[in-house]
Amino acid sequence: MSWSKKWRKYSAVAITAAQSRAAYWQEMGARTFFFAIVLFTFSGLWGRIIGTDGTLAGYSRQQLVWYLTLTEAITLSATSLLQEVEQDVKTGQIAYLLAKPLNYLLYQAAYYFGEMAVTTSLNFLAGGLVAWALVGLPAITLSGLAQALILVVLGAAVRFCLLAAIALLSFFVEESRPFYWIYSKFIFTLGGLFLPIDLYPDFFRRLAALLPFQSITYGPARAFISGDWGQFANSANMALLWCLALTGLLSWEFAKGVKQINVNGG
Amino acid sequence: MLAIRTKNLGKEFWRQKKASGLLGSVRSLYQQDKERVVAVRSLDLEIAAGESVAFIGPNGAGKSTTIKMLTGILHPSYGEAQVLGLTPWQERQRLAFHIGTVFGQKSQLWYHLPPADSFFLLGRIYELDQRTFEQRQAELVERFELKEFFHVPVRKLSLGQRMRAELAAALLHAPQVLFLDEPTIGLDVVARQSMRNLIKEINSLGITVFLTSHDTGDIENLCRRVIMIDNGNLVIDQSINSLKRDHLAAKIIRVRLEHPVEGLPPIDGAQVLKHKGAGLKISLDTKKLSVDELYMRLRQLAPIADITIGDPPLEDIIANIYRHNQGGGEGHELEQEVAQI
Repeated sequence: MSWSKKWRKYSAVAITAAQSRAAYWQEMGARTFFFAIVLFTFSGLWGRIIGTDGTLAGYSRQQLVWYLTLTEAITLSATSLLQEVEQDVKTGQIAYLLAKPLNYLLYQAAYYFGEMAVTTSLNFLAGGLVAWALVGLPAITLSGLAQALILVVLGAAVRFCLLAAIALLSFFVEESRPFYWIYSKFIFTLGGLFLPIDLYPDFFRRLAALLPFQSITYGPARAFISGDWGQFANSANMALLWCLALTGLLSWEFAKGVKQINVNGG
Repeated sequence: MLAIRTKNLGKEFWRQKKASGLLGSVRSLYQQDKERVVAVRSLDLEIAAGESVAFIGPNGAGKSTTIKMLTGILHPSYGEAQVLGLTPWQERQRLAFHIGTVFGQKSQLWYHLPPADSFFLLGRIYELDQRTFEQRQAELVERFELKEFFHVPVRKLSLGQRMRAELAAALLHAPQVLFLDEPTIGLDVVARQSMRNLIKEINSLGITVFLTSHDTGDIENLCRRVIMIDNGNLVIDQSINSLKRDHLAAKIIRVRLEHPVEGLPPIDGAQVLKHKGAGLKISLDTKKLSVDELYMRLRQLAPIADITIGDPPLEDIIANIYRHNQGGGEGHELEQEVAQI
């Protein structure tokens, strides 16, 4: 198959998923409201801890609020990937998707990126307005923006691999939700959701830097507020490495899962 | 030319067993009992291009497993299969371009989007160029009368409208074989009739229709041939007419006599199903008693004002065959072997 046909196929999946996601505007509204409360609370908290003009390990209150704006915009842009894949596996719908000229994993990836594009953009737009009202606009450079954008995409790829790997566990275990729960706690802590991991104790900082979770939230948000090229290169390399490793894991898991259908029935 | 051919096609699975209760749950942690289930056994089929075939059987008979093998989703445990000259599980993606599927209980249309968006996506999935896509879409919208709701989100459509759109979507890439699984399930009488007419029309264009349905109306209206499997075994493969002939030893006779009669003497071969005043409904076993003999016997009771002779519904015939097989011989039993792992 030619690359252009492949691109047309999966980009159409992404566009359709984005259109479909836009139909859930009430849910997105509720998330935005929750987002505003989180930003308001943390802005007040940091104001108390470090004052309006002080810093915390080199981060100003404004930078911390904008850091949180991006990490929360990413985290709250939950897609239906987990439910979709889990449902496909449990109900056998996966069998019907396999009967189409598609690669199931690429299909899910395109679906995920389509939904992510809509939800992350809208979250960031809404959160950005709240953050602007609370602490004003940060001194963002164009290179910082470009770095953040690239890292958001790479982080989304890492996140897709992790979520899909969890969802595909449905082939082997009755319930994959507990694994998702563990994953979300890792994002909270080792992903640096509320605070940049530079502020962590040494051991946890080093541990977090080696794991994939920081590529999803910390990497893009740190680049957004700092625009540091050295830091960007580190984050990008780490994200690419994890993408490769997790893609391998995902493909292996999927092949094992499909084999499972053949052994245990559709 | 053959559209579908299988030879000695079979599929076996391992199914996990667990004893009931808390102790059973604990035991299953260290000792797993598994049983081998024969889903499909040595299936030989030949379906010509353009045929319309009903593939039926009771729940758990092996229909879905067979369809999944024919669409390349499942690998068989043994045997061969060719669909449009391709081995499905080896050339699944290539085959996917030439087959269409409609599953009554599983939608391929996006719930929050209008059918038009799903058509656009399917056009891309099946790699249609823009001109072909637009041409096919226009044809289908017209033929299936989708125009009035083509841009309305699927969640706002009636089931009948949705199924029409599902069927049209399955034809977008001009498949040569169409697998239909319960395409009329849940539809009202009018919508069901409309779906059946459309399927007939599709078949008349030369597309092979492979229909799975529990609705005997679908089978009778849409197919000339019926293939029945039960417990993984091929039970029947014949035309619907010959199925009726072979399994219709019974006739349903409705009689209206000139005047009411009180009670009827027992007649060997005739069973009174209903008797009210001058009206009678009788099930006649033609192997024991001919229609003519029954007529004569009834005439002795009273002059006959009206008589109709009909076949029992196909549903009864099929139910009888299912029941007969469940009572079943050795060859129809589910083969299970328990292995402890």
